[in-house]
Amino acid sequence: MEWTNDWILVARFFGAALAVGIAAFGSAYGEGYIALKASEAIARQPKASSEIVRTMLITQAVSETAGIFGLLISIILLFVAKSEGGAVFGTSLVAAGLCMGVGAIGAGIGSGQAGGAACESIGRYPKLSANVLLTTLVGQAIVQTGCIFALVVSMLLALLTKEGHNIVAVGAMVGAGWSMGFGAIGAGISTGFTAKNAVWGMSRDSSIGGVLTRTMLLGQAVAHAGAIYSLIIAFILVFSNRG
Amino acid sequence: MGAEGANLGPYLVDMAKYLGAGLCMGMGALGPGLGEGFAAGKACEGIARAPEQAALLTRTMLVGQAVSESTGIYSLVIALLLIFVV
Repeated sequence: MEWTNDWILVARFFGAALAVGIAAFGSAYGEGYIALKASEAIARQPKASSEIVRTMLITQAVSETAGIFGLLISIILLFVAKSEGGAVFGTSLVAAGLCMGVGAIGAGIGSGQAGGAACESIGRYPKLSANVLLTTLVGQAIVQTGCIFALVVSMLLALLTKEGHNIVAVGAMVGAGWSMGFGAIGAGISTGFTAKNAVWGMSRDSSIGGVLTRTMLLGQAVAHAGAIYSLIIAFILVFSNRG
Repeated sequence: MGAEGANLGPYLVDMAKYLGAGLCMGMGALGPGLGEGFAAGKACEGIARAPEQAALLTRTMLVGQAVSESTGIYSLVIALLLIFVV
């Protein structure tokens, strides 16, 4: 089959669909979980409903970040990425979409866990809402780390110039996208679980907030080691095989 | 493509090396990532229940996470071997 620039257009559309389609799944799941926990909390403690609804909206906004990253890459692929190039560039556009889409699943689900725990805790102990919300937001910010790695790799794949049709470089581009995309899922989901339990602990006994936040941050940092390895492998593959 | 269709063999081998490295590290980071975060979560829960045991719990968490990390490091080693050595 003859290579034409139409294939780059195909790759841009396909990559854009992958990016926002898969990324939306994680965010939506996380936000739905927050809303579920908020409804439960309001049913138990109707007097605190305004506090709970506020917490729900703030934590849902953080959970939405992952989906917005997917949307951003999708828009870049549709309107910003170059429309001519070889097979290597075409593959790297699809890989960019895969990387961002899959990389956002974990962050969406994980920050949903943390936000749900915040709503539940505030429903139980409305007086502690400031402390609980602060810990939740710190935890959710760390949960986004893997997703941000995926955004960086995805931008490199979509925007760096790559030439030629070398099949070796084609493999390297798919490998880079796959490595960072899937590498970010585990860290995202599980650091959200860490934040959830830290928030829960904070609502039990706010005097131990310092040691809980410290343990949460330490645990989340160690849990991100795998995502950092994926980032390194993705960088090596992108920069040593640009075709 | 690389060899005008004449003899793709060597190119395919190199392609599989890089593709394999990406697959290996991507999937390999899933498990340790999940496991370590759950360990950290339960350590936080334990500290909330028994704050005086915080040092012991943190130590246990780190040892458990280090063991859980080992498979992620295997993936990293294999990915680097695929890229640079094989």
